[in-house]
Amino acid sequence: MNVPGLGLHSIGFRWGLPLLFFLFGAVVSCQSKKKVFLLTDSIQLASPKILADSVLFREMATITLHLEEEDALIKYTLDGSGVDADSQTYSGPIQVYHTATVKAKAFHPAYRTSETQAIAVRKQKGNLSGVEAKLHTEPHVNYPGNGAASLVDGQKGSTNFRNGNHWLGFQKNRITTDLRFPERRNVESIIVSVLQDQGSWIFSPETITITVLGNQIGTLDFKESAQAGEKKMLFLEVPVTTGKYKELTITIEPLSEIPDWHQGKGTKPWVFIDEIWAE
Amino acid sequence: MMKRRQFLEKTSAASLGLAALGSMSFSGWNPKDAIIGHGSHRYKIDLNWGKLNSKQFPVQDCHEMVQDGKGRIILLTNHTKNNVLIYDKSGKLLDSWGTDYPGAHGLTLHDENGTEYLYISDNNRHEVIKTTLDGRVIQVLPFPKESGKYQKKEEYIPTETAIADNGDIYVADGYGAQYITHYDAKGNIKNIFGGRGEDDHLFNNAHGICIDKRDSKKPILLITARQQNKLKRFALDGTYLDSIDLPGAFICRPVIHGNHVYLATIWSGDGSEGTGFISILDENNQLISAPGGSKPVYEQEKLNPMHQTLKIFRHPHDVCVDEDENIYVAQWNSWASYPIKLYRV
Repeated sequence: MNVPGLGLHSIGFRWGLPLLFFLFGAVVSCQSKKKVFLLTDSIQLASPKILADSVLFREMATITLHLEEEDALIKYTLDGSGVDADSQTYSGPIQVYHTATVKAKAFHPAYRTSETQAIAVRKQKGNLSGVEAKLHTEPHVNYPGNGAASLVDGQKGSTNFRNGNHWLGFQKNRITTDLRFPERRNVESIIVSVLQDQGSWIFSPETITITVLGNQIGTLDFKESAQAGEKKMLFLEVPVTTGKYKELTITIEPLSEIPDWHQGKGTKPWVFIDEIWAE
Repeated sequence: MMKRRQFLEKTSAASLGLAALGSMSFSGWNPKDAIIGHGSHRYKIDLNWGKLNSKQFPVQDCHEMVQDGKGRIILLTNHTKNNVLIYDKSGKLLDSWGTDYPGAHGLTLHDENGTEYLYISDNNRHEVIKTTLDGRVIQVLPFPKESGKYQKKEEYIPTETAIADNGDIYVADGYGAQYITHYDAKGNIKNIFGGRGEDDHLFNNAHGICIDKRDSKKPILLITARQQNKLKRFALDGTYLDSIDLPGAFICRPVIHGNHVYLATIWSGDGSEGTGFISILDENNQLISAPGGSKPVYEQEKLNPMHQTLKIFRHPHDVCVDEDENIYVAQWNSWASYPIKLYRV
């Protein structure tokens, strides 16, 4: 699990080294006070960057992996399995035709292996035409996107949430929106595309509930939302009682407050949503 | 300096066995010592430099560092037990002072006719304070109400100052309304420019400012637009000149040493936590070395997006470069760690 800046692993790394040097320093200090430089095998590579031309696609996505460090090799998987030294070596852009989880790690002869970086790319199925969203909760004035229409336009935002008009940002106890189809459609699940950027106090929602005329047809509890994690976009899939529906209500509940490990603890987290659709 | 560097390079190029033996008696040289950076500007890393007993001399964020005429390294932190820590170049603490700067952020040193002064930009106090090197307050510049751009002090969160040879003071309001206020030496407002926005002459996080005297006939201002990943050039009268694009590099403040510009880079790539590195520009303002970051590559005169490649720095916030061309790195939000020293090889 790659948790830049927030994970216990990183803390151990940063403080473990000085401890190591202290011990080493104590041994040599009886001779003379020498500078002890950081050794290559104490340094971890950063995780590779994973770029997708579109993380939400109808036909195909092209994925590129980057870590511009001399002699570093990037290895990856597309099936969600862990990356190790035997995984495929990256040599150029990868074409993906199906929903996939891309995982990548960097290896180097001198430096320590990186943490895993992962992104999900999703093939968007289902009929998107004529779908309307009606928001019952107004987004924050600073992050209004293009209103409810942004949620059903098939246009995803990027991890840089300030760019474009794709993300709707909320700092509310509950976010409610309706999804209306032009005719009754077969629905098996609702997918809510959200951003996690804890450094900007944006957390993924804790619970998503789908109702039809007040009757619950599906719910998702997302346990990971309170855990420290890297900046990423998530597709939260809520399975529903399969059936033909004309109108659904989606209720999104953020964490009640930012967890204790974060500097914003006790305050209301932000929730950012860019797309909602039915499959 | 050059001779020592050449010698070290030769040593490293020699057979590893020999170099390893030699290392035991020659200033700790070890073939496994990491060397970071690119091209002409490569460094070894000393994580222990300046480390103190944190109960006695605590730091919170290590925001900025400058070197005075005696060669001392002066660190500004927002810990009010000792806002200023003064070290020698080996990392030994010489002095400390300051309990009145809860938002201590920007630190600039200016030599005024042979006497050196510090300018502290305080985020929480919403003002800039000029002090002597031992902490005596000389002048306080409050929020620039008479400029007409500010109604109340909370709108003004100064992050950095630059002082011209004639004593004029430029203050960058990097966390506030993004204006650059230009004062004369007495503190009278002469001009105000910039402001928030995406246009060339406007800023998103006008975090750092300095006076670039590399062309001695035509000094100009270098101002970082950190969220825009740009270093913007302005004439001293506030006229916008042009911008240097550093995609992926969230640069804090420009520090000029010789013909080069050094910039602590607090985040990189998409701006994720803990992804900082150091940026070094040459006399043509081209990025030539990025210790801790990706190798700078220009294609059709455009820099490829930068990213962290080695997890050494978390959030570099300022650099100070000494006469040996070694770099001291102060970091924000990095578990209250003391500065890191980079030795040029």
